[in-house]
Amino acid sequence: MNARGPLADAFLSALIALGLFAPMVGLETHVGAHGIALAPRPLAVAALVGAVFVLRLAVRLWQARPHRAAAGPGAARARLAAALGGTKRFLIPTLLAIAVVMPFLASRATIDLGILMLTYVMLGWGLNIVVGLAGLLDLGYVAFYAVGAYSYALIAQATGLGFWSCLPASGVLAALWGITLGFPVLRLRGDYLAIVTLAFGEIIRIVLLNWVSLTGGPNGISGIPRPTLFGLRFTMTDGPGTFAGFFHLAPSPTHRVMFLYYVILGLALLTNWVTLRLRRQPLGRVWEALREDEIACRSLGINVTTTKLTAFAVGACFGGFAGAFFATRQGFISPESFTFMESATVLAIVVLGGMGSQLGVVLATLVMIGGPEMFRPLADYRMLIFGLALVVMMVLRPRGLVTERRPSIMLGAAARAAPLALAAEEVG
Amino acid sequence: MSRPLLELAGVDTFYGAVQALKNVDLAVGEGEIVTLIGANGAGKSTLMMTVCGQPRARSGQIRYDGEDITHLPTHRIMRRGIAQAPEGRRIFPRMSVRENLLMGAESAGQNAAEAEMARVFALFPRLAERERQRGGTLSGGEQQMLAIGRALMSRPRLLLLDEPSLGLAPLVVRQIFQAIRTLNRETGLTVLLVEQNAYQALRLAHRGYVLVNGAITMAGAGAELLARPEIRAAYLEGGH
Repeated sequence: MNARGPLADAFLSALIALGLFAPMVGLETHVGAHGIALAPRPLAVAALVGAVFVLRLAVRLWQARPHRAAAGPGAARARLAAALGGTKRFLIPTLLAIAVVMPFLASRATIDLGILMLTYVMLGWGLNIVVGLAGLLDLGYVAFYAVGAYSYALIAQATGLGFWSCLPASGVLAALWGITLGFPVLRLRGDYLAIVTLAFGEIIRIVLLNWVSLTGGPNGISGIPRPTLFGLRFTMTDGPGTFAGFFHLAPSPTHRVMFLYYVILGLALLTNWVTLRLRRQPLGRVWEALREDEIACRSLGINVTTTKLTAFAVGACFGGFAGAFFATRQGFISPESFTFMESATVLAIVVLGGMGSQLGVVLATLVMIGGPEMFRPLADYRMLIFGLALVVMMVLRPRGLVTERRPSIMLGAAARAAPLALAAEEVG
Repeated sequence: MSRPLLELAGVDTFYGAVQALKNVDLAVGEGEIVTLIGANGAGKSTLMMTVCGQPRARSGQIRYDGEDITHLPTHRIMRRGIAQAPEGRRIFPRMSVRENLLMGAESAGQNAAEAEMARVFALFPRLAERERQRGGTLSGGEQQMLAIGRALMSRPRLLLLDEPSLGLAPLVVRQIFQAIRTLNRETGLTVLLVEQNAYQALRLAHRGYVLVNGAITMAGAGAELLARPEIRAAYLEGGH
């Protein structure tokens, strides 16, 4: 907290806002008789600058409010931790139940949104292995998503195999690329690692864009086969070999959407299950130790090279699965779907959720992907609200939505007591 | 001196163009406590890290149990019965005491981890009390105990200790040095101890080496070095 008074601080913020908004908002172009003319909008600027002043003042005053010293931060934290532990017990089954039942109750558009969100949940969980557990800041995660998608599309086109046969291959190829990326960056950490992974993501996209003979370049690949349920196709007819025909249902496009929804739900839950299992294994513990202190790991005889590479490979593998799913869902892919924006969104989900927290990823996806969709009626203002929501969230919970870390091993009664004790230390 | 467990012969180490170790000869006999004393920047930690292969010795040879380990990768060296409690303790702050200890057993395989942990808890009862606490919430002395305990989890024959007294209260330092003595007497653990706290270290150690600007200038029995006037002048009086 700086020593400036709230008033001076708010004034400074207003000054910065004036500098920013004067050219961006304060000038409007009109098509006049003699070409384009500029018209000033002083009122709009004044309103925005005033709003910044008032908001900044409010934030500062709120931050400076007297804390209830009597109760002590410790007691408050313990209460918060207990509340968190309590809600978590109900929150996870509730979310899961909603996720399972939702397609039968919701509209097609909502199921589509659910598929989109589950895809991001899966990507978030995959990236969480690399960033949250192993502590390797990866800004190019979209590369593995792209590799998975193109692997499936190309293999399916070349061999005529279906989604389920190609899915493992997509994961394996993405994992191989994860190792390929891992080798050159083994000695890098933090910012430097972030830059190289960022470049890697761009390289993959640019190769896909320019290798026209293989990938179709900017035109992408279309006609990617749709997934089947044990060989049953989802079509608009009820002939033999179709889902509708086999179950004697009226053919409906909703069937396929629902099926896709359950496929991605299953894939995402698989990712979660594997991650939770790995966390209890020595490998997961070594990943976390690596995040904490690499030099200490070396001094304990841990092979840092293989540990990092497995983190990249496992994370990339799930990215590849998600990519294959994306390809089969869309039926069409092009490099445009794999821009840096995707990496940034997934990373934002992981960071916002609280690094390393599986539940955090789900909550953050609801906010990051669900939020903008919900505010769609507000048109242009929705991104403004979204940005504001992110800022507020990071001010209130700077370490992410869920900051609790459960020990990976516990004994008997400790299994109930320890998470709360740990959460009490961490919350706040 | 008994049969040497660790031997350095003519070891030179460089950081880029700067020579940090100059033709270092050093031997640690099986079952011995050997201390390496020297001022800030003399190269004590470098020597210890060179044994672990990071940085690597540019020339000379490092032998462990008669075998040349100079060119082995770090994790291989640390799996041969050498364990290190690194400078600055470097425990895993967000992991529990128990998890920290288990990480120490990672390279040796998990089979004997429980028995080993019981031995560590017997040596440092404070760690048993704090078993489920996060490493970062321990006091400095407890963190040092954890770092040593973690190193012991792999059942080492040679323990490398880098400045275990750093930043600790005198009473805690005595406790930790007492634990080292106990370990050495009861299990025959060989210890190479790097210290700035020359008085305590030389009293604890069977033998000592003095490192000045990357070169060994003196060697001898702990008590003998303690008695030498030049050691007293350089390391004992005047603040150390």
